[in-house]
Amino acid sequence: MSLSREAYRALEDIVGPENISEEPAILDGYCFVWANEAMFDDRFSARPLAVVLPESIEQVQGIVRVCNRFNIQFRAHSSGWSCPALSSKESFLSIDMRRMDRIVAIDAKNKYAVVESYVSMQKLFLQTMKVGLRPHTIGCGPSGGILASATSNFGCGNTSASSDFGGRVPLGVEWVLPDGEILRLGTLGTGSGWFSGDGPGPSLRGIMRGYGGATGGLGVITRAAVKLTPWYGPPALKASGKPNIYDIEIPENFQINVAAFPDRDQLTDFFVLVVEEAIAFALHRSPAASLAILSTSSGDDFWQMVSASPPEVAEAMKFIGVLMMDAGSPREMQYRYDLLQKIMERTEAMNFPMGPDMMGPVFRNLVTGQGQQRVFNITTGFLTAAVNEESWDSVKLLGQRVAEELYAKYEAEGKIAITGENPWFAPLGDSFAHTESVVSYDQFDPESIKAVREILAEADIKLPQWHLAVGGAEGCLSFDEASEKAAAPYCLDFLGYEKKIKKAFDPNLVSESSFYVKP
Amino acid sequence: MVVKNGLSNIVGTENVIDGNDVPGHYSGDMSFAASVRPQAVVKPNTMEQVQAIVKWANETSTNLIPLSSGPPHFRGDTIPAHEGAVVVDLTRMKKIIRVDRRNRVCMVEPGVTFGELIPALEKEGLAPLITLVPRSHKSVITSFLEREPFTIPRFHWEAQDPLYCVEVIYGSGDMFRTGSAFGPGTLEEQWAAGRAQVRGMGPSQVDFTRLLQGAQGTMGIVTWASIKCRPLPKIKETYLVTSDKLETLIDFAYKILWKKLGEELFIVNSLTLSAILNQDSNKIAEMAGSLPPWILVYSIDGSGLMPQEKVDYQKADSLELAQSFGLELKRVAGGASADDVQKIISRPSTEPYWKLRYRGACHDMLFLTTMDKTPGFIKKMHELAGDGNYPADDMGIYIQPMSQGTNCHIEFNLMIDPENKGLAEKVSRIDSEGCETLAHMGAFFSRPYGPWAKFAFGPDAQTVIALRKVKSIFDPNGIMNPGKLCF
Amino acid sequence: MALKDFEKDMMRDSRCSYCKVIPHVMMTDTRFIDVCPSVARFNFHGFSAGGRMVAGLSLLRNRIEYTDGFLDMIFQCQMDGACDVSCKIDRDLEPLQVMQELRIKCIEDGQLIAGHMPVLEGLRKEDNMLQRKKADRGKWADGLDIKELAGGKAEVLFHAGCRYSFDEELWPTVKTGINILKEAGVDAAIMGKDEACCGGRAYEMGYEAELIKYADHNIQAWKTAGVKTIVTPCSCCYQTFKVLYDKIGKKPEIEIYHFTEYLDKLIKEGTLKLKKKVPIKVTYHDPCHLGRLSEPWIHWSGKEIKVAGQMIVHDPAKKYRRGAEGVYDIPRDILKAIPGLNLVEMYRIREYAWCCGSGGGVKEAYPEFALWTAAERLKEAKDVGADALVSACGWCKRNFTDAVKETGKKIEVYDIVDLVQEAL
Repeated sequence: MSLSREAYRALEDIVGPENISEEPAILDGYCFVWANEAMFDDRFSARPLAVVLPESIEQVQGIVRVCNRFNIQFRAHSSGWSCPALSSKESFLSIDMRRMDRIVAIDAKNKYAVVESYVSMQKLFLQTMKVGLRPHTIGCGPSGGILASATSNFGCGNTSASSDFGGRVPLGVEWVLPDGEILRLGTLGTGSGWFSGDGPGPSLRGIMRGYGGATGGLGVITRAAVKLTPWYGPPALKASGKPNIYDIEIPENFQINVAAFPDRDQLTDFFVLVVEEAIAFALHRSPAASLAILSTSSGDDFWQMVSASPPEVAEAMKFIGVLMMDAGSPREMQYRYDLLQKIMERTEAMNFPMGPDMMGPVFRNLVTGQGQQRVFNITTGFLTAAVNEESWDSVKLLGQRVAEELYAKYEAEGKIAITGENPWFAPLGDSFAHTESVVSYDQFDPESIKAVREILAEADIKLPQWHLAVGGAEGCLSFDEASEKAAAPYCLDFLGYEKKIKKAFDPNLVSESSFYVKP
Repeated sequence: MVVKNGLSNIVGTENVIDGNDVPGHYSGDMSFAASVRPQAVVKPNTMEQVQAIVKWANETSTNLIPLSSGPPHFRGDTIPAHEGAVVVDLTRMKKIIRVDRRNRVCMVEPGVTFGELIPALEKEGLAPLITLVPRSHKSVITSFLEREPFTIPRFHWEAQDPLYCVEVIYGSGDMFRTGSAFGPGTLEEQWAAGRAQVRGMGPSQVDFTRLLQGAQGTMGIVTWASIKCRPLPKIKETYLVTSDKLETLIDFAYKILWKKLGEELFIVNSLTLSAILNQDSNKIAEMAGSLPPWILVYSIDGSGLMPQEKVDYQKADSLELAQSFGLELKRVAGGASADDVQKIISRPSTEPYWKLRYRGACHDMLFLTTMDKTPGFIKKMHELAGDGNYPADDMGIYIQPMSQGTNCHIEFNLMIDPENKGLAEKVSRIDSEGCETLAHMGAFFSRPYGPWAKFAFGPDAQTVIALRKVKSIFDPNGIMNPGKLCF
Repeated sequence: MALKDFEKDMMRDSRCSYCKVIPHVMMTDTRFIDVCPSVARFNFHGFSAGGRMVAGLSLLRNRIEYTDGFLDMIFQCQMDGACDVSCKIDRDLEPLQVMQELRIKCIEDGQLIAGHMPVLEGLRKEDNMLQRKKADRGKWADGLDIKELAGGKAEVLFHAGCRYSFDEELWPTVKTGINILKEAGVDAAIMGKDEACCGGRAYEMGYEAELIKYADHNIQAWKTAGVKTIVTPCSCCYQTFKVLYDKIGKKPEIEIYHFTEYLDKLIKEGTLKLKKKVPIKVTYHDPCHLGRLSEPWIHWSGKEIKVAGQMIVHDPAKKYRRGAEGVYDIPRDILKAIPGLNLVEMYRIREYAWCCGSGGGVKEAYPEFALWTAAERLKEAKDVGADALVSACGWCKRNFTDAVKETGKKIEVYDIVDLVQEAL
């Protein structure tokens, strides 16, 4: 498939010849992404028709109008890290938002920033920490797009306990709809600035995204204001030393605690209490191996550390919680410390002592999200077969059932990696818990890939049967509505409404919808 | 009669009022909305009845006006815009379905008021997030469906809070549950799996709850909602921080918010605080005169495992902050006691509603802005009042930081003597003309009642087009509260 | 190694885009976080290390064919290795090696870059990268009282390199170098017209055979002359002698010094005394080949094994070059030793320094891109308030000097040797 010459010229007129490409070698960079192999037979999905690099909303609008005129499917992305950014069975026009990478404004007083589509978490954090603020962190790491996580994709990370879930931080939003019209959400539409994204009247933020974003299936977001959270750390991170484990100075008003619990119930109670007491800067539960991954310099070093660890240590570390507290004053830190001791006492927690060699990397990871990519070193691929957000007890149960009833068989057969006790979970804001059960596999091993596919398909069926979740993170990580269709018999007809919304806002069906819905 | 019969078949005759029996408060309220009598009022008691009513309305092309709070009403949103409408009065739906201490959430029907919810939550060690001294008949669900601000910005992470999931009968007649309540499984099955309907987002890639908020009943009728609660404080200290200069209090508030200290945090002018604290208009005037012009109300809750220690450290930190602004954390100011304020702001208003105590009636102008811009709006409102010959001293002012301080609600309570028709006309003019002026200054009428809709939607055709698309999906026949917003 | 040997690395690319910016914890200013000139200038993902890993895989799998666009995408890159450092913050991959093998494959497949052809012809004919006569190679040293090896022997050999030998504007630097050595009593010699190219730049352009050829030639020449120590002011030569020769299994049994290392040694020994004040505010530009690329080569041979089901580890454990062991402190120590000199750091330094723009054959084939890259660095230098930018490589100095002329930026460009001379 290729663009007609007329369409190509129309696009070229908009972005200029330097910013459009049909070069196959370049296009292949836009259809290659981890986990493709779990959906397709290859690491490559369908090659895009072309790639364009707009630099303004006018150019984006022009591109979308051309797509409507020539009936071309398009999808935009920022960092392009995950399948929902790039993957599809059919070729489409890939809109790489890389040239729109400006931090438009930071309102320090009112705690929000306005960013263009490509601004990464690290770039925004770098700027906001100078004024005592920070954006929400993103699970994929610091290079992830802040706007994408807030408006279009998923949006959780280590600091979600304090900085909330990406889906809950957007304020004013500038959005090129699939028909090429520009919709400005909230205050932006009335010319009042960027400080609110809801209203007038019913909030169209609800169309832009839900639990997950529309993942490119409903137009292109070009600018958005995102809420920021107080940052009590220094105006710049103080790192020194050598790569790849840089030394980083942990500010005095930050404290990291790793607690090990006798069982899942106590672990869960710990999270319930810490969230209610609102003392966490970052809080998550993950396999103890994640600490080893962060503090070793390579996959091999990691394995040496883990394999040298006595079995009783691994057993004691089966259920751990990682908590980092920040404090706006020494009094606050003392109070939080004392309170934590009480919580740990109540939940029979054991403090896991960490040396500075581990503390620094954990701090860096909790603050910046850096380190997440290392998971690719120890296997080569990973997927989260079960993702959900609800009460602590339900995510606990989900993690347990997934581990025991979905993964155990494949681990025993050696088809997926034994990465330690699943799942990863963390609070999002003060209300609910988020969980991801990670399955790690080898991209080169057909048996391993086959196992992952089976797990995904089984998860789609079992999670709804357990009344715990819909697979594929309720759609935004589900390709071609696979998870939604499997869950339909157990749910109210959310898919029907989504399809109506898609039809109403994308009458020509040009906004590529592999990870959204098709009418 | 046809209408009455149709509705009686659904809810029973005793729950339908029609014709001249319809009480006046369904036809008109404290707003300047034109009085229009509904042809009937129907009072369902179950979701199934509500659904049957909506289906009936679609079959008979009857407009429905949902209403959950008792009178008096202030915004005009529950007054029919057209003749022939039926008001769906949900005040009978008073079940508190569930209180879940561990997840700090309750599930209630639309007729539940704050006064009814508070004791039910207290028993479980919880407290609601409450709007500023709501009127006694105010529905909890309506408050938060309408994105009314509550007094604790720390818990207001973003605009949707504290509303999580809802059950709704859309204008189409279809029942849906938003957020994580959509499934999989029934509510009972979800509870058995440990779920608690605490995720308001979604389901899937649409935020269905958000589409109902601010809708003034134009999309459907909510039959229950799960709502975020907070731990019941074991101890609590409230302070009055006063200043002649609003800007100083605003700067202090920003700092408190940045430090994430305390719970209740809002700023009122002397008249508003006095009206909240006093019943008698003379006493209101007297205390308003003795109070400093601006009062920041600030509380620290002691809850959880170390309540006293929490209050102690936060108090010490707050004191230091206050001192750095040359402010004091007072327990008494201008005859107002912080303890009294604390009690009063934790409960609904006693009768008469505090906004009506001073002059007998009140008209509110409210919008969103950021705190740093509020002095400019206040100045402008005083000018507008002066130009309209309205006594500015009769204007209550309330500034509520929202979304943890990212923006704020500002509310002007124009208190008037209901008998003084001339003054009412002046206020009406200030309302309609002032709205335009304020909108030009950047006021965001996120809840555009009555004439404000013109200025909220006027500048932005695309928002209107998009909202109408949404409306056509959920209420394809346009039976839900037509004539409101941009529908 | 061949491109095929890196198939797994290419497959394991997670498209995280780390290769495009400096490591997060080292970022200080949002305007200066890009680390890869190529993707910063051309924007398409293919112009990043990650994109080239994908293209390498595509080529292996016959998904793509050679086109001009593809070749531009591969060769519009300085091979500066910054991407490699950033990638390896979290990953155990070898993006720079993939890019190197991709270039080698292109050349092996007869896909030549027009701008490189005259240079390569010149190299083959005259043993230098500047298309100049071999006979003129030693002219820079005319008038210097320095021993020129012509079948003779010397323990310390001063290797000027192609750039310094033929770029007359740079001659003062090498002349100064010789004078400093002499003043310090070092019995050094040069090879004059017999000096040959190191082969490093040609290798970066994809010509592996040239590297092998010059490695063999040079090592033999040094052996014959009894050379025990080589001192070179050229960072590219330094990296080639020290790292690339080792990489291809031809590690010379000779001490290799960059001139800054030798200077530092002399200063620290007290042989060289920096006395005169040089009151200037300078910033130091880390040459890629002296910095991250000069990290010693780590040889590894072994196999991948699976543990814990599907975890993949190496037997024996593999160590990675992550840019940690480059020469970073020594040039700074020298500058700090100069009285009155005020050293200010840029935002992108050491292993995550922005390239000068001239490497990888870019200066020869894509001169505008080379100048654009240098101009970006000059902006950064100006932004930190420097009056002068100091480097330790002739290629850097040449490209920065050209960029100053092109952009009209008011900033001086020095080689570190020039400043040492002023301080003596």
